Amino acid sequence: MDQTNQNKNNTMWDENTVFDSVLSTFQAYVDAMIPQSPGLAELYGRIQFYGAVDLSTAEFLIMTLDSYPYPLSLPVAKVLNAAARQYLYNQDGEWVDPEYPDGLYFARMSPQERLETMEMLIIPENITYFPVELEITAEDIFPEIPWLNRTTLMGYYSEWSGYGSTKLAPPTERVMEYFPISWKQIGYPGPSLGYRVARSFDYT
Amino acid sequence: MNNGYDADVIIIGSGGGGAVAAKELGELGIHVLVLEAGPWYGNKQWPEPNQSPGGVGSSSNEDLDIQLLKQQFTDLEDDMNDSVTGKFRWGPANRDTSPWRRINQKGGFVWQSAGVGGTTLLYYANCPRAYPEAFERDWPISYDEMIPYYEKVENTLPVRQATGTSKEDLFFYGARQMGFPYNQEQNLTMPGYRLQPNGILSVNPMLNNPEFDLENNQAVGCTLRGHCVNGCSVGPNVGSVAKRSTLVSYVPYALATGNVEIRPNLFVTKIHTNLSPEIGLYAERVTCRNTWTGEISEYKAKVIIMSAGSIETPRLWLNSNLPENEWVGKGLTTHAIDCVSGIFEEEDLVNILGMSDVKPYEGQNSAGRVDYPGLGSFQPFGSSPGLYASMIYGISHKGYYFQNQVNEEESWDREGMVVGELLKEFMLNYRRTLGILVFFDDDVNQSNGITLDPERKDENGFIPIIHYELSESDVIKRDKLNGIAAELLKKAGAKTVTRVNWPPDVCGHIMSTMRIGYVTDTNCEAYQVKRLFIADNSVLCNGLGGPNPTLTTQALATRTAEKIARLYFPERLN
Repeated sequence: MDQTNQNKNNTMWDENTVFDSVLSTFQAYVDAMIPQSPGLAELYGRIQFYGAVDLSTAEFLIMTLDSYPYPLSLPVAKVLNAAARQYLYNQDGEWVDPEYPDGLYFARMSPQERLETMEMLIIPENITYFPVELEITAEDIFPEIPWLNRTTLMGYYSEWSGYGSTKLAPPTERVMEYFPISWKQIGYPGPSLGYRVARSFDYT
Repeated sequence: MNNGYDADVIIIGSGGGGAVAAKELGELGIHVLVLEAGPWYGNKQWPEPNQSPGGVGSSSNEDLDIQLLKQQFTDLEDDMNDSVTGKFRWGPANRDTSPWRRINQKGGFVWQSAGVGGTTLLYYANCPRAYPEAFERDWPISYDEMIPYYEKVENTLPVRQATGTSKEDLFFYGARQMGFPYNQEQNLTMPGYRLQPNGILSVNPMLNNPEFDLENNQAVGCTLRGHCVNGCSVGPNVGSVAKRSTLVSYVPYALATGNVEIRPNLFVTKIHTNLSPEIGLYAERVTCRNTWTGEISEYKAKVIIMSAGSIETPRLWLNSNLPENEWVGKGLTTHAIDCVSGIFEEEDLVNILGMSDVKPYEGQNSAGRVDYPGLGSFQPFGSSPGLYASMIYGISHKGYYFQNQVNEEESWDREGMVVGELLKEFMLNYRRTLGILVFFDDDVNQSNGITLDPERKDENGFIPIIHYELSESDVIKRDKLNGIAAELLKKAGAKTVTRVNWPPDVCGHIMSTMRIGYVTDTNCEAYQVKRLFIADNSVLCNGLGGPNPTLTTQALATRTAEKIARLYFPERLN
C-alpha cells in the first residue's frame, strides 16, 4: 500500500468528514481520561471543574489522527466501538446486543468501562471482531492505541487549548489567544525568558 | 568540483553525529556536502522554514540569524514538540503534511527530530561518557583510545558541569539519604551521584541581578528558563546559544571552515554502489528527494557518511539493497527507558529546600544524575506540563494504574498510567512533583532491531518497523534500577511514588543498529561497502552501560573524520 503524503488540502478539520459519532466516541474517551471534577472544584476552586471535553481535547485527537498519511479518526472510533461491544459481551455472555443504530457503544459505557475497553485493545488478540469495512488493517490501527493516552495528556496540558478560535487551523496559523485553563489548574506560569535562581550549592 | 564529484564527502544527516564529522573534515580542508531531510531553523535562506521551500543550501555563518531562531522557537510545547505536527517531529518541513511513519510493535514510539541539528534540537544536552566496563564488554576499540576524542568534544561543544535548581537539590538530598557518594570521576566504575556534565553554557553571571533585563538579554549563558527540550534560543547569536545542539555548535563551526555546505529538505532515499577491481564494491553516489517539490537529484562524492540515526541509517542500507549482513539493523539498544515520579508535601519541601515547590519547569531540564555501573543510570528531570504529564503518567505497557497490584517489595505505590480524577489531582501537584528518567543497561540482542515493512512504503521507501523486547533477566535488572530510583524519591520524602513503566520500545536513546566491529570495521567504514562510513548512534557497539549516548557518538564521529582523512585524503593532512 502506498502511504505517500496525501493530506495536502491544508485543512486540519473538515466538518464534512468528521462524523458526530466520531466526535462523541473521542469525547467519551477523553472524558474518562481527564474528567470534569466537581469534587476537586469544591476543594481547590472552580477552575478545577473543567476537563478534557471542555478543552476540546477530543477535537485535538481527531485532528491529529487525521494528519496521518490516511485519516485515522474514523477507523479508530469504529475500533473503539467494536471493542466496546466485545467488552460488554465478555463481561456477560448472555448480553444481548441492542444494535444501536448510531453505532455508539463506547460512549454509552461508564468511564471505568471505557478505560477497561482501551486496556483490552493493547493486546490486539483480544479483539475477535475487527470492522471489516475499513480500508486499513488492524496492523495500522493497533500501534496507535497507546499513542492516544499520551497524546490526550499532551493535548490537554500543553498550550494547544489556548489557541482558542485558531486551534483547529494548520499549526503555522495558530495564535495564542488566552492562557490555558489547564495551566491555571496546575500552576504552570507559562514559558519564561529566565528564572533568577542561580546559586552555588555544595553537592558533595 | 572538477573531478566529477559534487563534494569530497557527502554526509547524510546533520544531527548529533553528522554535524561533528562535517566540522572535523571541513577543518582539514576536505569539501563536505551535508544532506539533511528536515528544515533549517534560524537561517535567513529559509525565513519561513515551515511555509515555503526557501533556498537551496547554506555554507556561511552570515546566513544564521538569532532573531529568526527566537521567532521560530516559541517555547510552546505543542508547537515545538507535538510528535505529529510539531517543529521537532520526524517529518518534512511542511507541517501541513504528514510526519514520516515508523511502526513500533510493542506500544512504544520514536522520539526523534528531523532538521539541521537533528534530535539534539530537543535533547537535554547531557554529555556523560560511557562506562568503561560497558566499553570493555563489547567494543573492538579500547576505552583509553576514546578518551582524547571525548576530551576534544568536551572542549569544543563545550561540556560543562550543569547548574542544578530545586529539583536537583531534592534529588541529591534523596541520593545522600540512600548513601550514594558524590562522584568526582568522569570515567565511572562505582555508583554515585553528580551534577550532569552537559552541553549547556554556564549560567549567565548577571542572571540573579534584578536589574538584569531578561526581555532584551543579549548576553551569553543559560538563563535557567527550562526550555531545553522545547528548543533553546538564548544567546546573542546562533553560534552562542546556551544549549549546544549541533544546530548552534558544530554546524556553525563547520560553516566557519568555509568547506561545508548544508542542504536541508533533502531526504536521501538510496545509496548507489559501483564495483572496481582495485577497491571492490564501493559507495559512489546518493539519490535524494526534495521534501517540498518531490524533485529527485543525485550527488556524487569520494566518501559517503551515513548519519541518519539508528533507524534511518539501517533503513537506508536496506532500501538501497546494499549487501546482506546479519547485523544490519540488528542489536538495537534503547536503555528501555522508564520513568518514576514522586509527589511531595509542602512542609517537607520547606524543610529540605527552604521553598514550598520543586518547580519542575525551572532550570535546565535535567541537571543531575545517579550513575550505577552494572545497572544503568537515572536522572531527575522537569519540563513544561504537557510533556511532563505524558512522560510521567501517560505511557505504559502495564496499562492503567488501577489494573496493577503492587506488592510489598516494590518501592512504588502504583504502577501504570495515571488517569481520571487521580490524574487531575496529581497534576494539581505538578509544582511539587519530581520525575526521574531511568536508563537501564540493556544488552545487545540480535533479535531486537529495525526491519523493513514488506509492503508498506512512503515516498522515501519501505517503512521501518521497530522490534524490541526485554529478556527475562533484563526485566529483573530494569525493575531493580527502577526500584532504586523510586526508593530515592521515598527517601527524599515523597508522599506517593508512581512507576509508569514505559513500553521497552520507547526510543529516546536509539543505539547500536549498525555496530562497529560487526557492520563496520574499527574505522567505522562498512565492511562490505568501501568508502561508506557511519557516524551516528547506530555505529555504537552497545548501549554504553546506561549513559546518554550523544557524547560518545560525537567522540566517535571525531575519530571517524580523522580516519577518513588519513585513508582517503592524506594529501590534505600536510
